[in-house]
Amino acid sequence: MNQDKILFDNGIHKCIMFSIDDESDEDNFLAVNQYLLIHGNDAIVIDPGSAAIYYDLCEAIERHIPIENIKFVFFSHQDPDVAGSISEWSVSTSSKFVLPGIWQRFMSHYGVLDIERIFAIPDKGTQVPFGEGHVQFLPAHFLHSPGNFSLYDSQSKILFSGDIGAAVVPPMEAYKEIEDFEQHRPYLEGFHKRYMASNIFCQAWVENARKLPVSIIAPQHGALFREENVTTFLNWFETLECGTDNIEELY
Amino acid sequence: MLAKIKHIDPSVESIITSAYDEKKYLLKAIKNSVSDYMMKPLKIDELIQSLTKVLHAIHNKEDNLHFNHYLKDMVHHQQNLLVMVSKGELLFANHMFLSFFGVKDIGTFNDKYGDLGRHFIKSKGFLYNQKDLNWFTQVQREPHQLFHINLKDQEGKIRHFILKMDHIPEKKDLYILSMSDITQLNLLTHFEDKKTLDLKDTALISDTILNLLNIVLHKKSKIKLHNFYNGLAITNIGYITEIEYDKITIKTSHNQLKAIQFQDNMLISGELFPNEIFCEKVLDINFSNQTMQGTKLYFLQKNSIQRKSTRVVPREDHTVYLELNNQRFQNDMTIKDISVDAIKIECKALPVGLKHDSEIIVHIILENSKVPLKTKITSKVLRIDEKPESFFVVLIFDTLLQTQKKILTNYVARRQMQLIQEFKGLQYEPR
Repeated sequence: MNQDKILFDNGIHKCIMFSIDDESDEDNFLAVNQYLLIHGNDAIVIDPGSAAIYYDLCEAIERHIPIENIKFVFFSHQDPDVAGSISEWSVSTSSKFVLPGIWQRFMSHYGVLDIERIFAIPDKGTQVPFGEGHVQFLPAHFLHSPGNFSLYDSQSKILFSGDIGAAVVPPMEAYKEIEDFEQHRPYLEGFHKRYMASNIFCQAWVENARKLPVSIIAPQHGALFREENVTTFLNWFETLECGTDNIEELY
Repeated sequence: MLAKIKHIDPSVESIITSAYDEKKYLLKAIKNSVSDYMMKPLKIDELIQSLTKVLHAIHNKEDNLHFNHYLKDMVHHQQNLLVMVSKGELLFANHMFLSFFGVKDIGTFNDKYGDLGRHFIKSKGFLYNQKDLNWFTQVQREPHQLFHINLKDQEGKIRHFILKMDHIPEKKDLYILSMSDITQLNLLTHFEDKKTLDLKDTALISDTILNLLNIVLHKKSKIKLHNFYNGLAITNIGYITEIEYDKITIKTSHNQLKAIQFQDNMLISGELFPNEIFCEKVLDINFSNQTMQGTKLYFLQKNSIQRKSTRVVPREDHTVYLELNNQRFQNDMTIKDISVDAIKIECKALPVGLKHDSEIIVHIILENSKVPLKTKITSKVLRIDEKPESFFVVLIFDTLLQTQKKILTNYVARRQMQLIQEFKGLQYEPR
C-alpha cells in the first residue's frame, strides 16, 4: 500500500499518512506508516523509518512540500524501523531531529555526531509551537521502548502513537481504518502483550491521552482509530495485561 | 504558668519537674510545647541529661538563627539581582533587586510592576514575553541555560543582564533567579548586528571573552564545543572547570577530546557569546579526567558552525574536472569537500575565463562502492580563494535532477557513516 492518505486539511494545516513498507516477507507482514504534518511552508516528518524506504518517502513528501522545508524530523524512539534513516535526513535537510533524550548519545551509531542537530526531549515531555498551535510530546516510556514519546498535534487533534496501537494484520486483509474494533482486537493483542512492558505504563499513558481532545489515534503500524474507536482503544489499552504482568510466560 | 511564659516568649525552652503523673497534666504540658517532663523525685543523671538536651536545642536554634541571618545578609549583599520565584510569582528579593526597581519590598514590586517579564525589553536573541509563551515558561523549559535580558533602570537606561534560574532542591516549584549585570561589556549592539564586533581591539576583546567565560564558569552553565573531522561535524557539550589568566580548562566527552586532538583547535559557542570563540592553541588534553586546556581565544567574525548542508571530504580515489565554454579542465584538481548543494575544489591553476558567477559544468566520479558514482552538474562559481600555491573554488549546484539529488544524498550519507567509523577507530594519544 503506497498511497497518500489525507487525515486532515483545512487549507493551511495538513496531515498526510504514507504507508511505505520495507518488509517484503508477506508471512510476517508489519505494515509501516509514516506521517507528515504541514503548516504553511513548514513541515514535520513523524517516524520516517529505515534507510531502505528513505527515497520513496522523500518522493512522497515532495508531492506535498519540498523536503528543504522540513523543520523537524520526529523519532518516537530508537528502533531502526523508526530512526534508521537519520543519516540520510541529516544530509538532505537542515532540520532538527527531535527524539527522546536518553537516545541522543546513540545517534552516532546511525550517523549523527553533531548534537546541534538534535532536540532531546526530556523524560516528562514538552511541547513546541507549530503553526497556529503546538505539537506536544507525551511520555510513552516502556511502551515499548524505555525512551519513547507520542506526538499530539493540537490543530488536527491527531495523536501519533508510534508502537501503541500497532497491529499485525495479514497482508491480504490490510486496511487503513478500523471499522469494527472487536474484529481488529486480535491483531492488536499479540503485539501489545509481548512488547509493552507493564499495565502500569499503559495506564499512565492513557491517563495523559484522555486529557487531550483526540480525533484520531495514528499508530506507526496498522490502522487508524477514529472517533468512538479512540475511546474504545483507550479503554482496552488501559486494562491490557502485558510484559511483567505475564512474567511467568517469559521467565 | 508555662502558658503565660510561652505567651511572653514562645522561644523559651522549659523542663517541668512534677510529682503528678496524670495524663491531663502531661497533655497540658505537651500543648504548651514543653521540652521535657520529669517525674519527682529527680535523679541527678537524668536531670543532667535533660538539661544537656535542652541546651543543645537552644544552641541549634541560635545557630540556625545566625545562619539564616548570615544567609539573608549574603543574599542582600550579593552584587547580582536575586529573586525567589514560584510559578512565575516573585516571593522574595535581595536589596540589589529592590533598589534597581526603586521599591522597598517584594509586595510593592508586585503591586507596582506586576509580571517581571513585562519589563524585559524585546531584543533579538534576548529573553522576553512572546505572544504565546511567557518568559517563565521559556526559562523552565531550558534549565541551566543562561539568558540575555534587557531592563531599564530607574534613569531609563538599558542595562544588559545575564539571567539564570536554579531550582531549589526538594522544594516543588521554588526557584532562585539570578541576574548579573554585564552592561559594562558593551555587547548590546553586537547582538543586533554581529558584524559590528570590533575585532581590532584585541585587548578589549580578550577581556570581554574572559569575562563572559567567567560568567559561564561561575553560573556552572554549559557551552558547546565544535570540531570537524574530514568535514564531519562533531559537537558536544562542555563545562568550564577553570580559568587561569588566559588559559581555560574545559571538561567534555571523549569523542570531542579526540576531535580536538585531531584538529588541534576548536570552536566554542554558547548563549552568552555574540560570536563563536576560536580556541587556537590546545595546551593539554587529559583523557582520564576528560578535560582539555586551551589558550589564544578570539571571536570569529564569520559564522563557521552553521552549515546549510552536511559536507564531507571524499576519499582520495575520486575524479573531478570542469567544463567551461566547451573546454575541459582536469589537471591537478581535487575535491576538498562536497555536499548536496555545493562542492569545493582545489586546483593548481584556474581555468581560463573562470570568475565569480561563471556558469560551469562539474564532472564528478566518486568511488564509494563497487560501482563508481558518476554525475555532471551545472553549477555557478560562488567564491574563488587564492592560496599560496593553489586556488580553492566553491561551486553552488544549480537545480539538480532527482537522480542527481539521489546520487549525492546517497554518497554523502554513506561517506558520513564511513567517516564516523573512521573517527571512532582513531586512537587518542596522550600528550
